[in-house]
Amino acid sequence: MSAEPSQVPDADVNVREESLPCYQCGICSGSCPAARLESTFNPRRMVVNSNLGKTKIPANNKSIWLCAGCFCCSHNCPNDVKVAEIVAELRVEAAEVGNLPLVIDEKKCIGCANCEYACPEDAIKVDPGTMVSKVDPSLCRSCGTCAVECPVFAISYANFDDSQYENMIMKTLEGLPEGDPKIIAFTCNWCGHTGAESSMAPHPNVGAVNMLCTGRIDPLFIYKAFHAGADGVLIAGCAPGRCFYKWNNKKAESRTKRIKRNLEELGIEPERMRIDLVEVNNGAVFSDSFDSFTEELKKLGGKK
Amino acid sequence: MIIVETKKIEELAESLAGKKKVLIVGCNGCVGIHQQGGERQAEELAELFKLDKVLKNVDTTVTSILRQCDKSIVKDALTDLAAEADAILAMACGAGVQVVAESFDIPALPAHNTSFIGVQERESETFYERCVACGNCILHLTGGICPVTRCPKSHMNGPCGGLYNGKCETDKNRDCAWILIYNRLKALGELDRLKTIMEPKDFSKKTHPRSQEA
Repeated sequence: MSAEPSQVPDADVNVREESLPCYQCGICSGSCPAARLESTFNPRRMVVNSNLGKTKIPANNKSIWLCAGCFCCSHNCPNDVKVAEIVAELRVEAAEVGNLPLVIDEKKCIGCANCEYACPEDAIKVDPGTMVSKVDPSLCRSCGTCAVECPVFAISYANFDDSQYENMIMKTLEGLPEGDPKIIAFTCNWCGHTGAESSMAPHPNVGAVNMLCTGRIDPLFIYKAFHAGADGVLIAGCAPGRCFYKWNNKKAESRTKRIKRNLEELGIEPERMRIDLVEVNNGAVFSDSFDSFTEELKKLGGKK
Repeated sequence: MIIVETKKIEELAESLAGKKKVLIVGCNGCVGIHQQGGERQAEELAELFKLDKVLKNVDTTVTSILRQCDKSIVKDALTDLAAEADAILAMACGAGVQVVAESFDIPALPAHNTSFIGVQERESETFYERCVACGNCILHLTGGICPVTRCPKSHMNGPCGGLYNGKCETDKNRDCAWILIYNRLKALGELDRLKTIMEPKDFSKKTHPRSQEA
């Protein structure tokens, strides 16, 4: 399974020169899906800093790897600043000092190539010499599906590692009111989140955990959510064929099938788990889905 | 590689009845590579135990080792952990489970049913059997396609009369092994091979249990 390469921002630019026309309107940051996910990722600031000659990304600044190369910043810039390209160049410099989008534990890696098969960007590959996976930081878009595929937990992400997500799940669950069935909605930052967000307010029993991609949803997160008291789990992802990361919504769908089978074996109704793959602006679908899901969970009653 | 299938939780609960502390051991060999019994699958199983009515009372410890069919690896990695447990749930193939079982004084129980030696088709996420370990390989004569495994009747000289449109009478989606062999030999320019009638297989090589000098 080899991926067609995506359009990757060209890193070979002079950041100082490219940043000259910027008048700091901030449209780049405002339109950035990664900035919505993590406020420390700020394209405008990166352009300004480039202009001031501060191109060195501190080793502890991991959020630069959240840029997925969607080009929203560049397309929206009124002065045609190549923001995505500037970020790409800064990423090259970050990688040079060992700041990487993900860390592969070489002692743990068994060279099974499941990450390689799963990667929609051809960014991670097993080195035939060492039989250990290696990531190409210029191609990685941090979707996270490789970490879920790894059978030995050898891959850990610089942004949003497993424990961070688990904390988010627990916190979200704690915030849900008693009474109505508690639903955890894993929402994809590209489509599902926008759609689900707009339908969230009238549904206080639904708590969203925003994921960079549905491919990052680990079955363990779902089991842990159920164990911690969730009555239902919903995955909100991009419509079929529209996944930003090519096939990750399909991957999430096939994982969902397996999870449902396991739940059924445990005597937990598989209807407690749902996956909605919907167009980005179709919030109404989520609103209806939240309603019907809540109704269904009410009928099922508490988990046995 | 060895392909396995995880047992139903219900069956695992039965085999673990009365056990309080269970060591779940993943195997990062064949079953790990195929995402059926590696460290992640061991963690997932422990998490599923927590959701089960009966098994949630079992105290689980999860670990995984490079491969369970190697006694020295098993002993090195598991001796301390096994001393603390009532039973070991081994997520390896049948061979691995037996190595774990003979290494310690506590019961070692299989988490899987061992299915076959096979390959995985990534696109369809399906495993296919490719070798029955007959002990008498004839792949050099059949264009690299094994009729012993892929023909339900293990015909040495095929195809048989059950052939229909290149498919097998046992399953209309299953390719006839001998049609595959014919097409492959044709492509290799080795169709002459089919003129030689193959002798019946030497089944003495498949008597159990087998052993051989390294």
